[in-house]
Amino acid sequence: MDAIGEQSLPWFSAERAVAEPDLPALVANLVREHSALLYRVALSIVRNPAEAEDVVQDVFLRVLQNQRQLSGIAEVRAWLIRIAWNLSLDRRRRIRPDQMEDEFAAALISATLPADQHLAEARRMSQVLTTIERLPEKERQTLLLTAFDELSTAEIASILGKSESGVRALLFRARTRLRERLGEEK
Amino acid sequence: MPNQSNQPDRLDASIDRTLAALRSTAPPEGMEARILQTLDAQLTEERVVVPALRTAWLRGAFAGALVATAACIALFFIIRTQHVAAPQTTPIATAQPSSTATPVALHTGAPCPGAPSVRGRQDANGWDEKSIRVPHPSSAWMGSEAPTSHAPHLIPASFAPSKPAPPAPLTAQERALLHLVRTASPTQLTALAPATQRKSDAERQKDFETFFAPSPEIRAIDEAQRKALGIPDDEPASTNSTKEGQL
Repeated sequence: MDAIGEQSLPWFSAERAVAEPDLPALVANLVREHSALLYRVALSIVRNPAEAEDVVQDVFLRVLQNQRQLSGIAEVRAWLIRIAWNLSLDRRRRIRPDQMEDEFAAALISATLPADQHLAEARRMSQVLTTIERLPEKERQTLLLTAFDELSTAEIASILGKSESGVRALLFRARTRLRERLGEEK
Repeated sequence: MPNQSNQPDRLDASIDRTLAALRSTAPPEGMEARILQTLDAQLTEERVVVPALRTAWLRGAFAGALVATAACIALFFIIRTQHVAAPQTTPIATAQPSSTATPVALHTGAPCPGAPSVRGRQDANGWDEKSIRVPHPSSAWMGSEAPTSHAPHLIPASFAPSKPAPPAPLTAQERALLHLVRTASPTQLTALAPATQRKSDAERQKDFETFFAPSPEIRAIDEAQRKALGIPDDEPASTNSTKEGQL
């Protein structure tokens, strides 16, 4: 969260004005406000930091290409997340995230843990991530989006094209199914 | 048993920890700067490329518009020149005061715009064959007065420049001759020459006469009859011709 706070600098700072004199203020402001969240959303799907960063960059390139439409968009954050979501799903089809579950899980764990705990926790997380991957698509997407505190149920419903009650039902089913499958594996 | 009852909690805890780890992932350092730099480069590229394309497009459009305008002006002048170059008055040197060639206005006796103006000496029928001039159709209706003749729609048509009649279709003989010229051999074509035809006709006539000439016996009988009837030799015997006709 600190990262977001640090990046939410006002656009009219002198450094920024010198660094990107030609970039529209609105787009640059969006980058600073939403790039971290978009990165996490993309990472939850593609499971690769470099790929996630590429997704975020692609999102803002699209925004730059369609910057004239920005004024007509009511919920910019949900719109950006929807773009990132779709781009991530496209990119995920080209890579094999299953092959990097362990590495990704190890990267998620804090490095301050002792080595034995780190290993066990990494194994558990990898197992959870693998099981999440095997959930039905809508349940998996709902579960991953609810992982981000910044997103309200209404925003998730808007991104997924569902009603809020539908999102809640999907979330319940996803957690129940995930718990059952993890219990079966153990 | 306590293990089994605690298992869902432990699973939930694992799920929550995994989701929390996803939630708390920090973006790589410098990501924002890299993105801004990429966007800036993209924007700069667009600003360089798009105006160049736009300028090229504008140049092309301007050149096209110029060419189109020049073509329109040239076309206008060509049409205008053709109208001006056409004689304003078309002499009708061979005008005859016949009922078919007489303009309608002359029949009615009323002055009609567009009708030929008669100048100079007039003959007995009221026509001056050399000085009848027909105004050009474009200038015929310049007057404010509308045509009052009985058939005003015929006047422009009668003053319109004459056009050559379309070629008439070939007759059957012409077609046959053409066919012969295309398909016959040189020998057959030579036979078409008048001298050759005359020679051929003479030969045919000669053959005919030779074939149908009376035999010596019949000639002797003729002589005998002539003598019996007292007909001189130079006068043809009627019986002879009768016999020839029978033959």
